[in-house]
Amino acid sequence: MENFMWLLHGFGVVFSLQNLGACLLGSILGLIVGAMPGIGSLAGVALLLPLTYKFDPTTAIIMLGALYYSNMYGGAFSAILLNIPGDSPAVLTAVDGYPMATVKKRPGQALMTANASSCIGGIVGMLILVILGPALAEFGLKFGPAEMTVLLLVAMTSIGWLVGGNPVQGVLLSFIGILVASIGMDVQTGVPRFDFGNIYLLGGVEFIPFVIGTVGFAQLMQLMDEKDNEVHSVTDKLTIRGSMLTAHDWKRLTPPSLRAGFVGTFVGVLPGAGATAASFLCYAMQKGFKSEEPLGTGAIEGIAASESANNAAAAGSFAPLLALGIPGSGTGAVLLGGLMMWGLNPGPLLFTNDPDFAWGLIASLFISNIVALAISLGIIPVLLKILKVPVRIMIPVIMIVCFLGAYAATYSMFGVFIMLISGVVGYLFEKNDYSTAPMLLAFVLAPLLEDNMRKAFIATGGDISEVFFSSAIATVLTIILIVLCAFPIVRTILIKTGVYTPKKKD
Amino acid sequence: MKRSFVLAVAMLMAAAMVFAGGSKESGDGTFTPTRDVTWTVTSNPGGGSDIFTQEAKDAMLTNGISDANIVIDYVTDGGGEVGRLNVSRMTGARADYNLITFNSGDLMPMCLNTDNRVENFTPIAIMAVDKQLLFAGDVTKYQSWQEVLDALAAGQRVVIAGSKGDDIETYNALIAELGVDESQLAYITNDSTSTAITALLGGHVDLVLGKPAAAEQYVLAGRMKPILALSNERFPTELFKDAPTLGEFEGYENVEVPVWRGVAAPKAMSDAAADYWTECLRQVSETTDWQEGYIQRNALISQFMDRHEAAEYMAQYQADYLAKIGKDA
Amino acid sequence: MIDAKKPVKLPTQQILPIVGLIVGIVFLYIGLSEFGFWNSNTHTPTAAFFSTIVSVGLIALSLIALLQSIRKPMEEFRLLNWYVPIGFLLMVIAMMIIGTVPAVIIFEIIWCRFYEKMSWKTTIIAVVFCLIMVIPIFTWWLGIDFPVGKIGELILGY
Repeated sequence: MENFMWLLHGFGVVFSLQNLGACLLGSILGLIVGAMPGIGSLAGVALLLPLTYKFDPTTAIIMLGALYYSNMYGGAFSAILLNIPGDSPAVLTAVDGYPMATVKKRPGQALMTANASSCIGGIVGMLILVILGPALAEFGLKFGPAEMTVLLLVAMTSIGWLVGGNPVQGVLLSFIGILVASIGMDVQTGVPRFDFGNIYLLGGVEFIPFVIGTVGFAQLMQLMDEKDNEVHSVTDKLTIRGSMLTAHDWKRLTPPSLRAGFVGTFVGVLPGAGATAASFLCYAMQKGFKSEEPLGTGAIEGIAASESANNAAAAGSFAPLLALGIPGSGTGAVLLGGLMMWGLNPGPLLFTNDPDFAWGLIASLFISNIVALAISLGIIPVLLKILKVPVRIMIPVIMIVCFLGAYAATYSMFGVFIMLISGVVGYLFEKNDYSTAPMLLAFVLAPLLEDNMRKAFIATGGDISEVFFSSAIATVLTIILIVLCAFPIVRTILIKTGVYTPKKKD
Repeated sequence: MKRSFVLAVAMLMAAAMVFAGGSKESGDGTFTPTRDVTWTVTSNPGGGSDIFTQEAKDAMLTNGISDANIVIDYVTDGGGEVGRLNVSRMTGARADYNLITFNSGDLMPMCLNTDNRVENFTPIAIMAVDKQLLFAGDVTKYQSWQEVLDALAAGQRVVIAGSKGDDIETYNALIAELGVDESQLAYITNDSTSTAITALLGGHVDLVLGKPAAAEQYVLAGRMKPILALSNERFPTELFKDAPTLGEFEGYENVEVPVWRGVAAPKAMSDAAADYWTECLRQVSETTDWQEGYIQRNALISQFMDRHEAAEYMAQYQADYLAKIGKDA
Repeated sequence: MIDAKKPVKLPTQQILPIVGLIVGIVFLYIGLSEFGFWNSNTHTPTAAFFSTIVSVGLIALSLIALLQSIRKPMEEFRLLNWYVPIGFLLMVIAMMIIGTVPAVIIFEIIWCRFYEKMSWKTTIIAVVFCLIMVIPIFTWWLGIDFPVGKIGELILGY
């Protein structure tokens, strides 16, 4: 309860006209930066950092916190309306959001769902942050290389839930994704690998251009088929009134949002995991639960899980940042740089030495969450106008947007070519019924898995059993892993032997 | 229609010039920045290079040395090689507005893994010399260097975590002096010291090898403890002075691999701009902020070299290193 | 005149697993020949440890997928869809020569006005929208320097 007293104190700090103004401004800028493809929260925060030098540290960090946070809202806009994720955590928002907006003709509701579940996820994350406080950061520390290895293996099993109709093809493509992700400098041994002598490949294949290609650009190639026989039927619902969620929609989005909010927060706390991994994991987890419509076809549950998770993870990543001075993500690191700039010492003593500041920041996250929600709901009608534009005009314009996003993410033409190639390859695979979503998951998680696995092997001297059973956490996770892998096999055996008969699915 | 086409193109060319242009050197050959400056750091934020850059930038701003708006850009791809390559290749007006933090720990892997060389940059300054220590965590097994030595003698496996680049060189010098191999005293490479510290705080590794700046706050909070100074004499500062050097243990020589910290710029940077930045950094190195807030606090050795001295020094360092690894210059 | 909507049948159902097979073999070969699988001196995995496991899996899956695909029909491809990457590539090449802004304008005009036969009004709106994205938002505000092209470099004296 002491922490809640501190939180109230934090609200006291934040409630000044100046700080609320900073919070509002940060939220607006964050939404815009978030909606711009290729510009992640990292670049957004880095660009605005210099603006805040003249402010008092609390005001400055409130503005940056609000910006970081509302970024996660903004990423959903272009994902849902254009099928181009504004930022990597929004990749899976596109997977369900875009079909919901276009096929299901419920664009307003898709945006609403994204915003509402972002808000729920954020609030869940912040409440956990307040209740556990610094203890949450200590929890994150318990995950060393061995624990992370097993956890990521567990996470990788979720590829199995995402593969769709043809598991062989889905996993095949995921493996290609993993190999592509392994191109570049190997950190452990400091040697270049699979770079084919190309300095740009040495830097690895950047995720954002890769995603813009496989998701957005491939989609444009498909849209060429439909551009001439398009019938307009979305126009009548493009008002705020026509965008309201029904009671039934709320019933569908709340449980996944709460669940993803909870899990997402803890993923956000883990070293190096971040919002992207959180949204992928929670989306995959949602596959394990019941959804009214299949995920990937425009299901509210899918949008809710992905959006709630990434906001919760953003909140969770503040725990190691504030309590230990450890940045969970690049964005956190830039915020950390800001703290030093204002003469604060980020590190284990921050909560004790500068409680006004630390709790003021947490309180401001609550406020920016509400502010970002209000603003995004307000601009939904404006955004919906985009959908009135006929596809044949949209195609050349979105091609430019793809270029801008890919270029901005890498500051070079290299990103643009990566985008183009992955777009063409993605189109070919999609056309032959290979699902690309598991490949994206593998692309994000595999480098983390490899890094942690190699570290774990170095730490244990190559002893596999020590990796899997090095601690209580690792042991529990290993058991979960075994159960997850064994379950489908046992189930098949039981069905084959006639011990168990599954209920017919429709 | 053809005409409108030509007209449009011409107008856009003009527009392109307006927005892409920056300041040119003014008539008298001096340079004053008029647009945002990008300062590239090739390791993760929170590590030693980042702190160095932040402090230099801060000193420049608070002491009114330069009022340019400096944006720090972290480009860690390819172990930093991509960032270095990009900066070295920048051309035109942009070249005057780009700086990169360039240390001995950046130069060595660059020479080892790529064809990029110091000649592809305009060295701006060398600012300081840094050294490393070994730290134990509050939850780790060994709390003193003697315990580590005993454990190694008993055939135990000890794991050190650290950053890339120069930290690895120091680690190699350490195992050579101790006469153990890398399977017994193992080293986990991280993107930055801050990641290594995370592993130490959780008790997943035994020791962290790092520079004082990245560890200071954790030592202050009692979460980490310096147990060995990788230096020829003990560190003078209060926080680190209790750490013995290796030479204080019987049968061992001191291990010291000094790391210089410097700043470089694209090769295409104009002389006027290079003079401007070297002068800015010279002034930074003389401020109290820098001397007390960075150099003394982090137990570095202040050593300013202007761009001509730095160029010579870096070239020599590179030649020595290339000879050592058996590569042609 | 080529009919862009005329379908061409290609055996991509069989080609893609073969592509997977080739990728797997390349990564397996490079990985093992350059780095090996396991460093027995230090008892640690090499840089190719992980990729080797994955490429073996990829080769196996590709073979299974190839077997599965034998009876699958050919896919129909139409040139129409390929206008997108071809147009994009031409635009990017143009950018590297004449610079981003002129290339974007010319591309939008050619696509909207001459290919899609839209009105000049619509075309200009599309151009203006793109330019707003490029110049005030990305270049001025977000500080991204887009390529000015060889010609731009000459003019600007780069």
